Amino acid sequence: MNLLYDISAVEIGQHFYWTLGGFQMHGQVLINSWIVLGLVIAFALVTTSDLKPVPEGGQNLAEFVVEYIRDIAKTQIGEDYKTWTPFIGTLFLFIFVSNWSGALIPWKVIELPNGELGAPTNDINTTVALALLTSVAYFYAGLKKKGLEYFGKYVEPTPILLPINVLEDFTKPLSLSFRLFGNILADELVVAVLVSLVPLVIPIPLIFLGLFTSAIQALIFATLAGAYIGEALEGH
Amino acid sequence: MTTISAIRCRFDTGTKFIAARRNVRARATIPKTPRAAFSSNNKSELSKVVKPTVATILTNAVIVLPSLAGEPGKIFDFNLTLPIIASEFLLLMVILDKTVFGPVGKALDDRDALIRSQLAAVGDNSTEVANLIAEKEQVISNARAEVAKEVASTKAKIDADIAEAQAKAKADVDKQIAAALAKLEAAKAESAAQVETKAKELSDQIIKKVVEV
Repeated sequence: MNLLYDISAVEIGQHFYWTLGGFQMHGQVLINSWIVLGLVIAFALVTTSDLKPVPEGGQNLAEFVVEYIRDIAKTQIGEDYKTWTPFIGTLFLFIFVSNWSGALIPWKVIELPNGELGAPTNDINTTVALALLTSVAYFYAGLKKKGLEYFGKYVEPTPILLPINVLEDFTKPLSLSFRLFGNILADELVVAVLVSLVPLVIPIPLIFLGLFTSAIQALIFATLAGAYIGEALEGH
Repeated sequence: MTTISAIRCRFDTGTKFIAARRNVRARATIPKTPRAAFSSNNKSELSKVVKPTVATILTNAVIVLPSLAGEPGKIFDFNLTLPIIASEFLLLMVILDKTVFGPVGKALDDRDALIRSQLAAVGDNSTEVANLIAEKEQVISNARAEVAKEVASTKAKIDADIAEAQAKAKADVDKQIAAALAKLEAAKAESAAQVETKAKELSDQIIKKVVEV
């Protein structure tokens, strides 16, 4: 019982700090992001090591993933989707593997001096980084396609909407980052709190719910990023 | 309930909540003891079991709340992690583009193009098929004509044979008839001669007799 309670103790806002050139970093987030990167890159290398015209083994999975992501990109962006498939696909895979790594790997077994390992996406830094990159991406997409005319969309359909249109550029990354952060953190918290109360059996449905939510959040993030890029690209 | 008030007290006095957490961890093991003596005094023991459980729930909630409300520099703690994650993401994007989205996407496109071209080729086959059908018709009609010709020639030959045989048979029969007729004529002539000689003899005899008489 003691062991179970030790494993299930709830920790929030505790970080394993590293310092580099006077700046602080969250070590646990970085360690986990490296593990996630390793997993994704390993998947990429293993499944695409030997590409054949008629797919075999891992290539099927890789093709399924690529087609799935292309489908998302195509639905949201339209004809220019191929340029943006890597961005949207990387968003999806990184968030998906991050979320599921937090839910499936028993990180508590690894003892850190402070804080605990978990999904990289349960740290606000990660989600804000991804959301800001999405903002940069859609600005880049719009400016590349239309040049400075892109900013004309702020007074469309009427200049009265200018403040709201400007506000949108701030709410987009904000909502993206907080949605992902809140969902993953809340999911891990719910499981952690429940496990601390009833260590066995009862949390299992919630863990499955957490897996479902995690996958959905990855899909939502990728889809919304695609939608924003598509919105910036479309004519008005 | 004493635990909760103790913890609240600690929060109120500004003690670090990590201390409170340790308290909770220690407190969490408590349900063990009442359970051992559970059978002796049900009602009071039940409350003894419930109390620590409720206390654990509430203390957990109490612990969670202050940190969500912004325990100094905890949850919304932006620092160097952000740019590092961003650059890691970009690195991952480049690697995935080079390994997965580029090559696998190309493989998918190539296969798509291949299947499309094969389908188009199948569509073009229709003229070839039409040619083959025409050729087949030609071959069949040629064969039919040849067979018809052969049948006709054979028939003509058979007819000729039959006619020849007929003619021959007729000639034979004619010859035989002629021969028979000739024979008959000869026989007739002979018998006529005989009759004449006989008649002459007879007449001679008659004359003789008459003369004699």
